[in-house]
Formats: sequence, structure tokens, C-alpha cells
Amino acid sequence: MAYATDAVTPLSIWGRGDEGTIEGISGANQLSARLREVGAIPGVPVRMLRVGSTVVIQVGSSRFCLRKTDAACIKGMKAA
Amino acid sequence: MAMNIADRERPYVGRATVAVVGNPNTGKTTLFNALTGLSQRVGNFPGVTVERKIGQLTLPNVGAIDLLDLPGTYSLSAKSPDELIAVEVMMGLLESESAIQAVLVVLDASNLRRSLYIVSQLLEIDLPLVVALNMLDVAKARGIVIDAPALSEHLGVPVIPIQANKRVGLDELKEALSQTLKKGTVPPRRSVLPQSWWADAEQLAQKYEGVSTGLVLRVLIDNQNAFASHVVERFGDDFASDLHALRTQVNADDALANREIELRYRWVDEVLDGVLRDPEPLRVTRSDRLDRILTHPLWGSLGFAVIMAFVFQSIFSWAMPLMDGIDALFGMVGGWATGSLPEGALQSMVVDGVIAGVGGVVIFLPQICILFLFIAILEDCGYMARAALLMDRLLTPCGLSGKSFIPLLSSFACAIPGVMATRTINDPKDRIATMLVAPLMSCSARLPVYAIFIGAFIPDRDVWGGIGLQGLTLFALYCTGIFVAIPIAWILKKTLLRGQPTPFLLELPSYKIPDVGTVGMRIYQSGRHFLERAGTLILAATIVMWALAYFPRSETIAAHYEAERERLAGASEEVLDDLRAKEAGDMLKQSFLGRMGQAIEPVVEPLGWDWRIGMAALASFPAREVIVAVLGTIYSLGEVDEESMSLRDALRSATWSDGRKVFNIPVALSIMVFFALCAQCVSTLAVIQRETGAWRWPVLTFVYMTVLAYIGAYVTYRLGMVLGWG
Repeated sequence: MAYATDAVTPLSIWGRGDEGTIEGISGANQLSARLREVGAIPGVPVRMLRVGSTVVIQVGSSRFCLRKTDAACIKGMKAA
Repeated sequence: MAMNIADRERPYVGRATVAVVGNPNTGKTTLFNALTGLSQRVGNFPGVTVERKIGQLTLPNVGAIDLLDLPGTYSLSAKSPDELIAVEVMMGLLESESAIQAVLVVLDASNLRRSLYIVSQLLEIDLPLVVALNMLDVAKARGIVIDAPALSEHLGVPVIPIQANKRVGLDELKEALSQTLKKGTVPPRRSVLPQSWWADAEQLAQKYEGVSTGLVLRVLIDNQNAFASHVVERFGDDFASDLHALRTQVNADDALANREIELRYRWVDEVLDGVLRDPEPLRVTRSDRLDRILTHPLWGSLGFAVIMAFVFQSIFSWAMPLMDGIDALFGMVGGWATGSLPEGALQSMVVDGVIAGVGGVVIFLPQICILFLFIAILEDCGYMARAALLMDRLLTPCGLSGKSFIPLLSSFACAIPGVMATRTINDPKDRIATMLVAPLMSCSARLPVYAIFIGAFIPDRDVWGGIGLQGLTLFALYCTGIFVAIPIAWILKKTLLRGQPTPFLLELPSYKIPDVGTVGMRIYQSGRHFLERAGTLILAATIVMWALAYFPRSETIAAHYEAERERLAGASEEVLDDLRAKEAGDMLKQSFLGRMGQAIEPVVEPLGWDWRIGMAALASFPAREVIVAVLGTIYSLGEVDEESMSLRDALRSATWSDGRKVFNIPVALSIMVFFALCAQCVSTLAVIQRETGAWRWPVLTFVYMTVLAYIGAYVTYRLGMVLGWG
């Protein structure tokens, strides 16, 4: 798979429809632990479904909504 | 791979209990309903006030067993109060009378990878396990291929493909449960976690009665969460220090929890090798396309408003024929009772007390059922999560999150399940703040109050395109609670419950056609609950109020009117009716209730109320729908009750002693606003006490709501009079 850029970016700056893979979750709080438990772990495909103050992301085959500020802890690599 | 344990077969003894677990939105409740039907009951776990939902199921060759429905959870590492309940039950910490003999775990086939995470944890607690693989149809429609027999082989436990909503595969599932219970085979422990952790945990577990290896592993990893502290509290200081030593030994820190997740997903991927084929994980589904509209900031919010307005309009327009039917039925019963009982106190109690009172409340059953119909449909089709998403934006400024939305919406049906639904909120301060404003949401018990006053006093006029003034008034009353809740929550979060803004994470399940059985069960349960209340609490309150309004019988008044009747002998029927009404009115005035009412009249007069309304409102503090029953009794005693005059007409014709009408639009609105805001429900206050474990929260709720109700009613009345609606 070819990437347009190697840069790993927080999902909070992704646009609607952007897809890629999760590179990691930063932080050691309940939210980051729960995100990992529901499958947001490195290598999992991710897509941005809704942007705004509350965003919707697709992680694997599940969809979750969370605040944009919280989505910043998810780092991903955008696919070309 | 499996560790060798001598005792891996534990056939069930006595009556077996099976716990149903799984991620949220896997169709777990649908399956539970399909398996247990009307045998479900809600009770408490022995010794603790935690609600448990249990149902009966008959298995081939085993007979009747109990099925225990646990709150949905993604992981045994509990992060919210309801997950904590699920985990404590699984770990055998709550169920003392009947220990769990097996676990039925429900997996979502369209989300298999994530669903298996909790399975990896369940394989460590040494209980027989049966897997129900649900929603294979959804998975198939998305091009996902799953080899269930291979999955069963990899897991070492039976995997039964089912479609809970279509009742497919249930017989096979029962058969598997029966086999599993009879053999009691505990699945092999997979080496998901390092062998050394197992050995250490086992060593520690053997030292303490009631502590299993799985439990030690759990608290070892769940350093410092609520579950770990519960366990430590329960097993004492020695256990705590042993655990601490073990933590130091294995270097337990936050990284351990991350390591657990990593190891488990590695295991899940191994299990799924050759089992799952998902060619296009990021495919755009029909749900995604729908969500482009339904979660759109503008169109989505508009859609939400339209759905809500439709619900409230329907509550009024659909229920009418049914309500008229119930009304006629109670009228008939009343007429029959009047005819067959001898005149006197007993006849009065049955006709004016029980039939007029309870009948006045039962008439609202159709509206309650319609409200729950909509709530159940919105919940089951998956829309609720979208509404929570939209509402997060509104709730964030008041310091809450979208997570508070579902408890608050449930409170529109009844604040009790609403308060209990706050268990899904992770943050304790957010949870209490939500609980404290939940009773402001207009619950179904307020509906009878609104319905009677709107029906009697708000003109049935079309405002715009089929939307009537009555429906709009109802909608406005529902909004009153919401608009008051916003500043209250904000103040609470700024003062008593100050804290950091908490994160919000909610799954958006795929939309689906609501399951008829699940929706039907919700309506049945709420309808039954409503009738039970009418038959117990409301009935008792009605009889007490009737007695207060009936006694003491004044000889002087009776003698006076007897003399009057003799003097007017031969007068027209109209004159006699008028006389009887005056007598009834005088009797009521000197009754216990009448005397109390006149004492409190100065307090309620500023709200535009007469003493009857004041007394009815006062009597409604245990349960707000009592007001309808009490008004029914008061007006039935105080008016001519020969003709079966409906309560609505009685209210319309009620007058002050100087002949002015008691009720006009501002008075009706003032009463409704009072009931919209007042904390008139003992059960809700009790449940807040139970859930918070402290008395100050229900007391605070009661005080702030009652004060607000008085102020709100006063302002409404004055405003209505100034605007000339009187």
C-alpha cells in the first residue's frame, strides 16, 4: 500500500472520508484503555465518518463517536 | 497450550443459573427475551441493592434453569458502574445464593474481532462457556464469511450460529446449553497471558477462600480501578498486601493493562486465522449513508426535532379512542356499583374513592404504552446512539456528555430506570449530576396530569399543518423540564460536582429493523408496572384521600339540608340537584381534607389554585399521578354524582365560593408547570439514595425541584393573567 505521506497524525485533524491505519493511542487513561479494548490498536483500518466537535470514526468494523479533542489521542497514518 | 488442571469437569447441581454476557449492541437482550419471554422478573442480588434481571428457561434433559441478563460490556476490566456489576457477577462476588454454573456469551458476527476480546477474558474464569454467534445475516450481507465450526474448534467451546431477532438457532443453543451444563466442561485455559502470571496468581488464590485464579489475574491487571478496590476491601488486609507483593514482583503498572490488550488481540487474531474472511473492512454500509443525514449537524438535529414532535403528537391522537373506551368501562362499573351497593360510606368509598380515583389513572394506560412503544423502537433500531451524539454538543456546555442523554431520555418514560441507566456513565460526578436532573425530564406519570388539564382547558385548534395547539402545549411542557435541567446541571458541575470535562465514547450500532418481541416486552413491562402502581400505591393513596374527604360526617349539615328538602318538598328536580350539590360541597368543606385545604389555601392562592387543587397537589408528593385520582375523588364527592360526569367536565365547572370559575388557562398551565418541575415521586428519591449511597442527593433533589416548581407555577400564572389568557 502506498502512502502519500509517512506522517503519523492525530485523527482530530483528519477530514471526512479520510482513511488509513491506526498507529497507536497515546495516554494512559480510561478512554485510551477503552479505545484499545474495542480494537483501536496498531494496524487496524480506520476511517473518519463525521467531523465537528463530536466526530465519528470507524475502527475496523465498528463505529464510535467521541469528542474531537479526545480523538487527538488516536494517531493514524492516512492512506493515499 | 492449555494448562493442566485436574478438575475441569463440573456438572451442575441443583437449579442452574446461566449468565448472559456480551458487548453492547450484540442483540443480547433480544436473545434473552426470545429465550425467557414473559417469565422475566427484576429483583435484587441477595444482600446488595443491585438490580438483576432474571428469566426462566426450560432446557432439554435438564429442566428449568435461571437465565441472568447482565449489562453489556466490552471487557471485564470495568470502567463504569454497570460494567462493574457484570464483572462482579461473573467473578462470583455478587451471586451468593445461586452461583453461576455457566456463561452464555453473545457475539456480533459483523463485529467478530472485537466481540472475541471479552471471550479471551471469559476463558480465564474457569466456567463452562457457550458462544451464541448472532447477526450472521448482517455479516453475510456485508460479504463477511465466518466458519463457525472452525471457531468452535479454536476456542474449545460450542459456537452456535443464531439469529435472535428471527428466533433462528434457539433450539440448537438450548441443546448446547443443556450439554454444557450436564458435562460442566470448563474450557481449557489458553496461554493468552504469560505462564508465570498464571502460576503466581494461582499460588495467591489458593491461600484465600472464595478467591479464584481468574480473580487474582483480574485485580492484578486492573490496578486501582473500582473492581480491584472492591475485591481488596472484601478479602482483607492480608490479601491486599499479598496482592501488592505480587504486583511488585510482576512489575504491575499501567503498561500492564496495555500489554493485556495487546496479548489478547494477538490471541484473537490467532483464533480468527482461517475462521474469518472480511475482504473489505472499511466498506461503506447503508447505516453509514443514513448517518450522513441523521448525524448531520443541521439535518440531523432537524430530524431529531421532527421525530420528537411526532412522538408527542401521536401520544395524544392515537390514544384517544382507547381512552374513551376505558373511560366508558369505568363509568359502567361505577354505575353498576352505585346500583348494587347500599347508600352510605361503603358505596361512597367504592364509587367516589376507588373507581373514580383509580379509574382516572388507569385511563392513561394507552398513552403510556404509546410512549414506551416509541422509546423501545428508537432504542432497538439504533437511533438512540445518534441522538446521544447530537445531544453531546448541547450537554457539553452544561458539563455533561452525550452519555447522559440515554439516561435522561429514559427518564421521559420513568425516572427510576433513568437513574439506573446512569450506571453507563464512567465519571462519578457526571453520573450524580445526571441523576439529579433526571427527575426533571417529563416522566410518563406526568402524562395523565398534562392530559387531563390540556384536554379540559387548551382549545383543540389546528395551529399549522396538522399540528394542534394541544400537542404543542404538551411538547412545550416536555421542553420545560429540559430547559430547566440545563442550568441546574451546569450549576451542579460548577459547584458541588466540580470536575474535569469527561471523555465521551459511544458505539454507533448499525441500524436495524426493531425486534417486535423486544419492543412488545418493553411495552408489556411498562404497562404492567403502571397498572401495579395504580393497583397499590395509587389505590392506597386514593382510599386515604377519600376517607379524609368523606369524614367526619356532620350531623348539623345533614339535618340542615334535610330540613331544607322538607321545606322545598315538591320543588323541581333542578332545585333539588342544586341543593344536593350545596350539601356535598358543605360536607367536603368541613371534612378533614377540607379543613387542611383551607389551612394551606394562602400558600397556593398566589399560584391561582383553590384549596382542592392545593390538597390534591400535596397528596401527590408520594406519586404525582395521585393528583388525577384525588381530583376525581374530590370532585366526585363535592359535586352532584348522579350523572356520571367526567372529571374533565367537573374541572371545567368548578367554582370559587363567589361563583367565579376556578380553572382558566393560566391556572391549568400553572398546575402543569408545577407538576413538570416538582419532585413528586418517593420511588425516584429512594432510587437516587440507593444508587448514590448517600441521603444528601435525594434531599437536594427534593428541595431544589420543589422550590423551582413553586416559583415556576407562580411565574406561569402571573404571566398568563398579564397576557390576558384568563
